[in-house]
Amino acid sequence: MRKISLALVLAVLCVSLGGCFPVSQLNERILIQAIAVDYEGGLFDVTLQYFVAPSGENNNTDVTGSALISGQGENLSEAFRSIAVRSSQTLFFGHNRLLVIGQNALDQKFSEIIHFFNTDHQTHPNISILTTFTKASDIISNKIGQNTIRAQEIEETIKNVAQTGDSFMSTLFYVVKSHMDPTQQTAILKVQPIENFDDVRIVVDGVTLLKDGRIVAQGDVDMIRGINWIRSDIQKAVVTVEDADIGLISCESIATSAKTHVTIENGAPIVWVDVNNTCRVLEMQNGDPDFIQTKMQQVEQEVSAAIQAEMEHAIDIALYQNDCDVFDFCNYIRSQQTDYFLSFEDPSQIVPLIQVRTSVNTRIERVHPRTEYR
Amino acid sequence: MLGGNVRVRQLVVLLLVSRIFTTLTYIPQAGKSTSGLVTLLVNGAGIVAAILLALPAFVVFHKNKGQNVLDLSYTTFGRVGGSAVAGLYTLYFLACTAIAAAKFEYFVTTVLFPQSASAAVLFTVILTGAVIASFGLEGISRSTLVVMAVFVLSLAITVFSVFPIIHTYNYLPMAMGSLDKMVYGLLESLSQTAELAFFMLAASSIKGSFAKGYCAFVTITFAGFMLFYLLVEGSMGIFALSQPFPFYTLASIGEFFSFERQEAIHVSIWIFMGTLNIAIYVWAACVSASYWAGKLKKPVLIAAVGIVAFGLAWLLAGNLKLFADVLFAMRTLIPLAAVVFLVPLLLLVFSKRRAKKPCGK
Repeated sequence: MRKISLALVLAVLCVSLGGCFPVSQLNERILIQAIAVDYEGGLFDVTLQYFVAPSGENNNTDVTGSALISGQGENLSEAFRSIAVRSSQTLFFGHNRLLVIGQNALDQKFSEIIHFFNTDHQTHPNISILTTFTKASDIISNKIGQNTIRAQEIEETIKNVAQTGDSFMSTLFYVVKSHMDPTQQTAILKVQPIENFDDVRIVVDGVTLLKDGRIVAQGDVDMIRGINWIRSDIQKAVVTVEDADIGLISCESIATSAKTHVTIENGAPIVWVDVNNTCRVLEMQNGDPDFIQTKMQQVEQEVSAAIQAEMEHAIDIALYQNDCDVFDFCNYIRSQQTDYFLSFEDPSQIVPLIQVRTSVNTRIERVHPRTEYR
Repeated sequence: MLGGNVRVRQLVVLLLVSRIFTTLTYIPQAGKSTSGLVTLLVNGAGIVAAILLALPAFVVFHKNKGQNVLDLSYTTFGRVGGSAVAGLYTLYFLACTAIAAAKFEYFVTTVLFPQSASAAVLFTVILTGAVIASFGLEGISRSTLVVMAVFVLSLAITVFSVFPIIHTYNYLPMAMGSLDKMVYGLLESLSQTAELAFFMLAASSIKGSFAKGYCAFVTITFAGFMLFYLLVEGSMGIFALSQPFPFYTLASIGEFFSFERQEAIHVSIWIFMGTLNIAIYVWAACVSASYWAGKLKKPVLIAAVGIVAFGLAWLLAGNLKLFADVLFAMRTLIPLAAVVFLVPLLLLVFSKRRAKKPCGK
């Protein structure tokens, strides 16, 4: 009797598996790889790059298996709905890796766009968010030869460059977090397409700073490195300095860490950022056999000065000129000087008062013997 | 019926698995509970409060080993009083089953399968829970050891994955906590720990010390909450408040070497834990009901409890306002205090009065 009951229960369970109803087959879905959002004339213009199995018959696909489709609407839901209706397929956001937002959309509809993707249960919090001065659709629709640039290639370009400190991953997670925090502002990586004969590449073009959901400033490429030094997000940056005797010397960071502490002086918060940088010498223009004894300390100081200059440049543009704290300084103030932080009814009033003091300590750990022809 | 003896540590592990699922599917927007380092204080206070709630029970079960709260109610209050207490526990655990099933359905249809039919999810999980409950306490508790081991492994992977993105500045300082939010947080934590009431029924099945088992469960549970809080807020900060299920998001953002999006693996373990969570409430409701509906056979009783729980859960799942009102009512701690503190206290008082009466009167 017990076995019969168990068998009946199992049979009922198998039939009633709730997760399987309703289900879309793979060929009934659009597997989105990248999304571009523009905003013109009161309408959202959404372009999707999606995966299609390569086929010689389909004129809209290329050998990389990507295709494009666009739709418009008064809001994002309507724009995506128009795409779903046109294609007669269900949109699947689970594989989306990239969201490119045009500058106009970023400036006028940032909060709406971020909220839409943050509340979508399929969208992964680690998708990359980029912006561009050109149309966002140009970024994901550019072709290398006959092939459309795939979202994965764009993402890997950004990641590879991030290792040298020349870009950073502005993910949905980071963007939402900075947008929700009243004391933080948001920095989004800016890219542009570069054409070179038949080859088109995406290159990092700088950074866009947003405050209260509106664009307040554009930062150049040099600013990105400064942000990364302060956030301790650099894995192997190359710093090149010029020495009077050695000429050009390039050092590559092996390990970098930044420590931040806060003091209060005359009612203003002073943020102390101390960067420790361990590096190795990659290249010297004029070798010196006694480099370690005679020149190394001087070069270390020159490298430190170069890093410090990059940090000061970023702080100047973001914090001093535009009151944008993209470095989490206010979070450090809240954590380390809580009473001071709580004395402000509106914590965002702290940002214009912040003064930053930077210091860099560079240590050269490896110097390879110079190869000379005899 | 539905009995079997369990060792204290088996019972503790079973109830931990059940309670952890409630924590994993916690919805920040559903309450106004505390965030920040003050959460550690709240959880510390939770340990003390939970132990204080059970003080009468410690004394009662120390004096009456081998009996549970319903056995003692029948002995102390007589048939009518005992049936009333049994009815109270039945209602409480039916409500817990319905709430747990509705929360499970909300989790599944929010982040996993939004297009799933609510009734199908509720039916499947309550049916599975009822079948598991039919194996008795001993059977359920033996299976949870495996589940716990797998969960600990998955938790270790999650911790390892998110550790690089934990920043101490994400923790809101203690000074930013407010007393009313702390009290609210404490009430919320306690009210969602229906496993405390489970101890009252399982007292007759425990091989070992009731008090030690209860204290061990409470200590590990609230210490676990502290760990979850430290992980979630340390890695996500204010972002956690924008997520319906922060721990689920945590599992998805962590990267374990080249493995991304691990939530699919973790969720399969959580679903198992969620089913056990419902199973123990079904078991408790069945045991309570058997005291006043003892003439019903075991399969009929389990089926009846399952059907009623399904109906209640369906009502809650289909009406968000009603669901919120019921959760609010539970959060007042009155239901939990009634079954964990008040009934044992009355047993203690009335059993002493009975003992004081001279012979023949």
